[in-house]
Amino acid sequence: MTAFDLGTDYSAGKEEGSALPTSVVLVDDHELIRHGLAVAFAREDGFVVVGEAATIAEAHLQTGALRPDVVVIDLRLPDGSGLDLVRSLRKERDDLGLVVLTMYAGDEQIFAAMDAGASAFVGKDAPSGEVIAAARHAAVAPRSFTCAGLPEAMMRRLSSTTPRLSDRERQVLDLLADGLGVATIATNLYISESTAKTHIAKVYEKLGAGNRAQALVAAMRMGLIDATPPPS
Amino acid sequence: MTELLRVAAAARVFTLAVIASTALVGDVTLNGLWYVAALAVAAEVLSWRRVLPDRTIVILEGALTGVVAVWAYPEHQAAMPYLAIPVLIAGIAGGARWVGAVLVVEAAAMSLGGWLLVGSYDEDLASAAVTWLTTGLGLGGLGAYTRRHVTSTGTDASYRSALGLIRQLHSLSGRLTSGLDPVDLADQAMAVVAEEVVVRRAVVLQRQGSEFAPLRYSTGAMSFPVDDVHPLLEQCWQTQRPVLNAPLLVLPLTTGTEKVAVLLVECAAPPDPKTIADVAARLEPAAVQLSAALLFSSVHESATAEERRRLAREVHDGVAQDVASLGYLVDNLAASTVDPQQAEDVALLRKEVSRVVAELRNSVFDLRNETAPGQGLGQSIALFARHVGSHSPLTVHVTLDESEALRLPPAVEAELLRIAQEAINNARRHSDGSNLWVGCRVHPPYAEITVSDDGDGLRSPRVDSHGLRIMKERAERIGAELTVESPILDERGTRVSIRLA
Repeated sequence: MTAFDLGTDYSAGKEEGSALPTSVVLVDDHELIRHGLAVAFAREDGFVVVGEAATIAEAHLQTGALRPDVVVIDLRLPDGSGLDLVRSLRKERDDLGLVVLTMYAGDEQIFAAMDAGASAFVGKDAPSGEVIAAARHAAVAPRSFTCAGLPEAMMRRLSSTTPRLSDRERQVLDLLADGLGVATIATNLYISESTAKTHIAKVYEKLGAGNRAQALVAAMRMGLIDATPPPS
Repeated sequence: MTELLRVAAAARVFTLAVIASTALVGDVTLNGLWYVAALAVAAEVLSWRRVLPDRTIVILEGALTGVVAVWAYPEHQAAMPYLAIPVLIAGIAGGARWVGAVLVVEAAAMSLGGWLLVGSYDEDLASAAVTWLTTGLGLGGLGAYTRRHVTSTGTDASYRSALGLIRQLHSLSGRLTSGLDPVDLADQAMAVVAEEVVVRRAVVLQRQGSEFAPLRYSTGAMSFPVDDVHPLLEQCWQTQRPVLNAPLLVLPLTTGTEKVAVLLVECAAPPDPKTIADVAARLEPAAVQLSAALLFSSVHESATAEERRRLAREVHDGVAQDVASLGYLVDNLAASTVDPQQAEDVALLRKEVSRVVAELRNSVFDLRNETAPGQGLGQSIALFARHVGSHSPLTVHVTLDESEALRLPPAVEAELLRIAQEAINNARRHSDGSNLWVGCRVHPPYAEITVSDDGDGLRSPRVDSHGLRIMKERAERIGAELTVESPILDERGTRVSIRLA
């Protein structure tokens, strides 16, 4: 579950490359959250919190004036979406580290942050150590996105586009999974062999498969057929 | 109603101008004009400054005009035509009832004035009064008509009709014994058809986009291959006339102005055209009720969805942030702790806080989770199950068998998604198992969703837990059957199934 094993390597490089500490601006409308994070960053070597903002407007002022290395941004702000802030900051500066910090869960949020140009995504249930690790990553590699559970989310996104099969295609797929040949499938369903072939071709096409093995693997991954049936 | 003010002002000025011009052209004195001019100005001022409501102003204006007309008679008879103006404005401002009220007040004022000032019955005065009061009646009627026309096409017309509808629905939902259940009403519609035609099987279909979704099948019927009859349904929907293609008959369910649904029947013997026309006519009351029921359920659904979003916002912005900030405080505490025992306690505390925040994050996610357009119910449930799998030790196995062409009604989909969410969350929180199986078979109007785990099974007090009770209520609302089995396998595991037949 915990992901930020990347951070520590980068910090050394950063420290040696420049004597200056990484400057951070915190954007969150909850003062206690900003306070808690500010204390955590202050304790950490190589970081200095140069500004805090509670709104998007304030954040724009602060980042414009202070030119920080990293901005930590809450997704839901009183005057708009943190994603919009990420987008506009990314447009202004390619080398700015952007850490999205949010209470929202779900893969959609992760991908939205990634598409907006964020450098990292951290849930608010994670300890401040993870926020700091994310900030460290963002300072060094602002254009590469990191997030706990990103590969799993990618897998889910791939399999979430489950095709919808017609009743006939569904029957054909079940018979394919049982290992039956085209002729037997046709007999089973009282259809001609050529019709059965058409249905099979359609199933392959919908599953993005070229042959039976690929089709069955894809169907299993998408949950159309189950490898391990529940106890009954 | 600034338009009303403008119309009233225009009417007053116009009439004064007419009176003045006739007076100037003819030999009638202008004297009566000054009184009514003064009245008109006073009425205008009161109306623009909103001292009194327009309806009250015209009542007073009418009464005074009546008195002036009689008092000034016959020298000042120029005042007489002005009698029509308060009536016209009353028509525009208040409708037909106020026209009547002003006319009565004017007539009463003139009779009283005539009795007190003239003393005897004067035929000329009476005929002039009748002439101008009749003119007033005509103008007032015109005003009332205009008022109705203007208000029904005005910007607030849609709100007015919505308000009317909501009132109607409110009283209906409280009074009807059959309630506003679309499924019951669809059954009633099919029963109406069965009285006239020998029905083998029937189905009521709702229009969803360019497709038809079955709302209700006749009991015990095999499901129709709806794809094959789509052209028939489409023809019936477009023409709003019965379509017969023996043995199939498609009947429109229409309120006369609004298309509601179509009813597909397989007849044992093809009915004659007269019977079809009779049945189609007899379906109209059922269509009106069904239309109201569908509207009501969509209102209910959007209200519920809005409430969930509000709750999500409240949790997100409030308690969740507070607890998360506590977490950061604990982190800072941990950093400054040197005592190993204390460090251990603080680490435990941090773990607990993280767990609570993660729970809150999930609650916000659950509350915001809705079936996305273009995404089937099965897909939504599968996505949710996989999401849960991503942050729990459970291995999630999803089996999907979802019809390609058909959807369940949105309200039913929403409830089924909530039930599945609750069942999946229960398994995550309480089962302590290692596998979660989620099976979705969705072939509208049939649907079955099973959620099973290989965990500890239900502990006895949990049977009437809050979550289970809510799942049962949700299932009842959509006429689904909820069964909970535990243990299911070697004293282990729980299975929740929801079946919609």
